[in-house]
Amino acid sequence: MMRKVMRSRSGKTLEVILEVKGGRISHLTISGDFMAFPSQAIDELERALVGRKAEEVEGVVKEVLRDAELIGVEVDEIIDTIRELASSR
Amino acid sequence: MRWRLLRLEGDAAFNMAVDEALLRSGVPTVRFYRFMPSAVTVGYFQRVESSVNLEEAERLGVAVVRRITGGGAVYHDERGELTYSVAGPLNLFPRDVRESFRYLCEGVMGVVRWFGLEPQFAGVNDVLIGGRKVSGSAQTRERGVLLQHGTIMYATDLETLAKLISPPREKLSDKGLRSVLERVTTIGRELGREVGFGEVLEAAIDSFSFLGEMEEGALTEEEWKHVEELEEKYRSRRWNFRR
Repeated sequence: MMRKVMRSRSGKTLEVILEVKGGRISHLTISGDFMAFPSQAIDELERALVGRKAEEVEGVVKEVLRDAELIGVEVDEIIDTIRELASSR
Repeated sequence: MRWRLLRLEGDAAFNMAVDEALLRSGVPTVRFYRFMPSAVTVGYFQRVESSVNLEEAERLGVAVVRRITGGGAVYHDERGELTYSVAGPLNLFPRDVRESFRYLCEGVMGVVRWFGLEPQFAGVNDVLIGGRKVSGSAQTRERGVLLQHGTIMYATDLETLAKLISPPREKLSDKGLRSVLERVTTIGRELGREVGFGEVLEAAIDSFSFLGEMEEGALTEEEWKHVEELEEKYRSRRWNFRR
């Protein structure tokens, strides 16, 4: 299990806990003191990323969060944090 | 527009269940309440272990409950904090999320002014006095209904707050008690006198009347049913520690 906590440009916190098995994400939690509208978008994102490889992260995040509004964290910060963890060995 | 004014308070699980019941019903409501006993709420997306000092919470017997709204961890001091919530159909508020925060935080700004102090609106959802945070708000929207709730600190024990709300490791270096006292304040501290719940409530009712006429009311039977059902969720470890 890998964990990364980062301070978003807005000052809020983004924390990702992630596990990779056989090159694919097998478990993922995205947390922090940000806000998301609708809030289900983050739950949905966690589900959608399970079974994906690091190279797929950007596409999945952009697709799932396409119509969501985030406050306190940016889509690219979510992508970078998850991708970094998913591609580390 | 006529708003139902609700004065209904209890422990953290009850309070959060009532707010979610308001989100479900969508009856235009302004609610003022306390957490009895004092409690910590965490944002919908937060990990409890990363945002609350659980050892301290256990030592003090302070419950930790997950909100349905995002944002950060909040210490609700039974003797020092008034919480407001506003719920209603989306068309009663600015469509844009940031604008709706600004609009509803006017109620909080008015409370600060009521005491003769000068509020500043900061970021998306904070109200400050002299650069220090005195109020934070959070919001969610579901099935055409908006719910926003937030804090107004008038006598919160800031030392206890600092102990309970433990920042993630990455932030620890620049925090600690002194830094909390520099960043957070209460109306009483700013006034240099004791402030009681009664006057804050009076100020809040007065100030939130910018929304429209308010009439004291009660939950409907259906809302009560939802409260009972939702309370169970807010008392469960499964919900409160889900992240």
